[in-house]
Amino acid sequence: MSSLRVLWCRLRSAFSRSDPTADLDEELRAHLDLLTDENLRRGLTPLEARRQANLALGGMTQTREASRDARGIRWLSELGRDLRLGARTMRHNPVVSITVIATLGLGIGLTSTVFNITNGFVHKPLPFADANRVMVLGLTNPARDIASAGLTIHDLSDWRERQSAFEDVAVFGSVAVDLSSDPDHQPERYPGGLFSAGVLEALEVRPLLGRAFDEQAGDGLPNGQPVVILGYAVWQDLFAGAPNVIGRAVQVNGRPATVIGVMPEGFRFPNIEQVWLPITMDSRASARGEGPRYSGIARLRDGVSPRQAEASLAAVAAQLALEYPVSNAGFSPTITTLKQALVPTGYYGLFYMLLAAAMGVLLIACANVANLLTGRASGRTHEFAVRHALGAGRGRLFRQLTTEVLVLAIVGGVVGFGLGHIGLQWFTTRLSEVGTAVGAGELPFWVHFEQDYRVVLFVVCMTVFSGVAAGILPAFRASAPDAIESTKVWSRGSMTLRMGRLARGLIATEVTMSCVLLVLTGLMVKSALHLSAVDWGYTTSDVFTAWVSLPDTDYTDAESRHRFYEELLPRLTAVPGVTAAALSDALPPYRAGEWAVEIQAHPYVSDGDYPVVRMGTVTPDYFRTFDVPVAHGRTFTSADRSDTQPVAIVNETFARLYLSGDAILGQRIRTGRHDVEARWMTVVGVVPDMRALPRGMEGVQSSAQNPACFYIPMAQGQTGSEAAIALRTQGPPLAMTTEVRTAVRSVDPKITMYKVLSLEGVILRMTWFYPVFQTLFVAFGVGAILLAAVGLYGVMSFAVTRRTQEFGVRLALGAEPRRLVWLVMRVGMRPLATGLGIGLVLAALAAGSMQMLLYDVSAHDGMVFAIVVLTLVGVGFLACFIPARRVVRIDPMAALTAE
Amino acid sequence: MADEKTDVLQGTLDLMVLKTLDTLGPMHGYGIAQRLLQVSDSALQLNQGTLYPALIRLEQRGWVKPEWGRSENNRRARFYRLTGAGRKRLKIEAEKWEKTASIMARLLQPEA
Repeated sequence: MSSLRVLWCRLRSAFSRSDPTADLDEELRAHLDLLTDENLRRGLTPLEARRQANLALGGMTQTREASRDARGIRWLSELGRDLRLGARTMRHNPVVSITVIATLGLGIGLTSTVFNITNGFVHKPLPFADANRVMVLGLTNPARDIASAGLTIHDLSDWRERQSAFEDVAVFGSVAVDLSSDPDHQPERYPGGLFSAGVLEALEVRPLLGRAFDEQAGDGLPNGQPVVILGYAVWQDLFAGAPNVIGRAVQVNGRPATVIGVMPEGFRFPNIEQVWLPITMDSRASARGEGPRYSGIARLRDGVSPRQAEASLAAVAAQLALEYPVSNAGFSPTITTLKQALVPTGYYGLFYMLLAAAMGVLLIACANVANLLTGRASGRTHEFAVRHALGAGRGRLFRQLTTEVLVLAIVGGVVGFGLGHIGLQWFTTRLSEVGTAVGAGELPFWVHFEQDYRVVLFVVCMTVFSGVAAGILPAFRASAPDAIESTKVWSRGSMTLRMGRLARGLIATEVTMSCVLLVLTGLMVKSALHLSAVDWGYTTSDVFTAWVSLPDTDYTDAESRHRFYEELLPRLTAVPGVTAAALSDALPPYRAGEWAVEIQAHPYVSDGDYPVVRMGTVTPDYFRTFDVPVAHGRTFTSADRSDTQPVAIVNETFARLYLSGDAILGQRIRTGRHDVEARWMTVVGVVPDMRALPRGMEGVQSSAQNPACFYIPMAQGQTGSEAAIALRTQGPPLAMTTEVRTAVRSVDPKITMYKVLSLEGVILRMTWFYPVFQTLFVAFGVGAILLAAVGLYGVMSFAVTRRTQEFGVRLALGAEPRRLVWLVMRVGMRPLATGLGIGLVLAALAAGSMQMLLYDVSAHDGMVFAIVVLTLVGVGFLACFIPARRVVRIDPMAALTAE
Repeated sequence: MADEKTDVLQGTLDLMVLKTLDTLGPMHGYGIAQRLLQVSDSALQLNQGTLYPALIRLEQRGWVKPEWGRSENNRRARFYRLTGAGRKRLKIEAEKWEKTASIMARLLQPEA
């Protein structure tokens, strides 16, 4: 209690504006007067009375000091003094201060930009109540080589019955939804979610209007009415936000459904979905263990930990495995938080990697500032010596120096926060530009950019960190006892040597960091260059692409789908401005399905010997549309029909790898591994390779893949319910969208066209990552090398200046200027070499972990490493040479008479 | 901090100041110093540098309360008044001191 009170009084006095010393002075004067009065009474002369009183009481100043110590918190008031002194020093050395602030500001700005991005992607909590109590459930079966599987509706009902760890269990999935407000309107395609009853309850989100899915009301049951829940934006789009929308009939995928709810603004789940349909819970439609699988979602009961829940689910699964060995044996539950399930794990690696790179730049900035301040501190040795002589302890000097740097770092931190804001603006603008260009609507709901308290906290941490990192070495050095001692006798020699060692170490560190960053930058740039210079094997400009899908309800068999495509193709060709039109099962940048094939008259010993290649199902003008010339033989024609001889066209890699001999045309291939059912297809043509991007993290992966591919005519292949439209156009492709849509509708008004993009957009959609992140990396790389060069230059200039006298003597004694230049250069080149050596090793290690981000570039690409070494050596050489050259211009007389 | 070294003296000084204020009623720093000088037969001559920090400490702990007033010869002076908490503290400190003193007395007594 009383100690709290004391603290309060002291804090108040430390920060109080009113001056308590005035009061004290008056009090002390009163005391003195009283004592003087007493002395007068004892018969002393007034002067003597005053003198005696003064003597008896001791010095006023000491009393004042002692009282201040008793009153306030000493270090706190000293801190205040140091801060004021720091601010004053800052104003007195504007060049040094601005350099330090700019350097630290740049470093903190880069880190905070990256942190802002990272924060938006992976750190933001999900916008649900107690989101970390919401678990995503799945299954795993290592024995059957199934790493992760979803739940079937059988699993769902089993778990619902038997588990007790969760409030309820529900499942969700995704589906594309064609929605229109009434049958006469052209439907729009939306990303849609599939929800069982209980998903919204698990998330604790209530619909804005109407209700959630409910099995009591029959939602999703075989005999239930078809229903739909609309997202806020959809409700605004289709019904202009009309409040009476509940109960309205809409068309969902060509069938009527009733709107039962509208979700609040901003709700999208699982990612960007904004329309939700109930999952059909018909246990008779599929056998146990079969049927579609969904992600499970459940909210932990109060007081149950995720681990307990997993154990209890495992017990349920084990029990089920005993009861239903055929379908359930070997399956055990997996449980992750919703956040872990939503944010792709690859993102963490990527963003932490970026953050580490940015921190590298910040470290270089700190090393630079440390160097600069060490230099300045050595110029202030006189000041420190005087302070020390006046009674400032070593710790006190140390604190004063670190505080000074901290003042600079704080200003740098403010600059950095601002830069981080600009950086984030740049990034989001870039992201939305790319997003618009590739027609990828919104970001997933869990991505949210905002400079929140985490960013502030981060910047504060970075500021303190950089202040300490940059300030501690110079402060330590300057307050070292021998440094103080040596300054008393005005000697310089011993200092120069020690400071030099420190500076060299810092330079080596800077070079190491820049080397690592430059290698990473180089690899990213080379990836992006590779990507922009990729020989796709086809012309990417002036191609319109889109997709159509035929609902199962209207197109029940291959025959009807086939008829639709046959009717569509001539209408597409007839659109004005279209020079060639094709339909296919995939667009060339995407990997089509892979198939095992058998080449006639080839002996295959085991299943692994059959080639696995891509297969494309295409219409005759496919190659003309993509501007691919047929190298040998012929292309498909409308004469290749289902009742004529089966034919195939192979690409050049296929021909080279698998079709031996001169006569490639006429050889026969069939799908499968000795599948006697499959028909032999005769190779009638060879086309150049058309490059596909790897699947997976949309381009963020190595391009190692088998480029071998063969094509079959759509008329002879299996006709799927989805097909890609590709049109070669005169003029901008997307300008044709309306006409193409009309053509599709003229065949069947209920069919929607979606994913409308130019072919360039399709490619960008898969590779946007490179141009965006390349810019970030280039910012790191350029920042790093600039800072390192400035640092090296600074140290070299400083070394030359400090040794001017020495060089003057040497020159006077007849030393050759060129040798002196070399002497100075060696000082700088040695740490450069050390840093480069360590940097290359570290870079090789760091690059290895970046392999998955590279496109067609090895993580140990020799050219990138060589260019980095040359660049660093070149820049380092210049940074050393320019200051070293000054040695030649030293006037021996001037140097000797200076001082 | 430097406080620790003078702890013993501080403790006794606090007790002396509190007791003085208890005996004399509200008193200024000079008065306290004079009183201590008198009582100790001029053995305890406090200088300002010791007395005033001690008074600030006592004030911060809430044991004394300063207010401006007039001295007997009509000089403006700061009078310190013992507070309730100060009185309580005085009692505790006095008991503690007597205990310590009696232990010390017994310890230092020549063996009989």
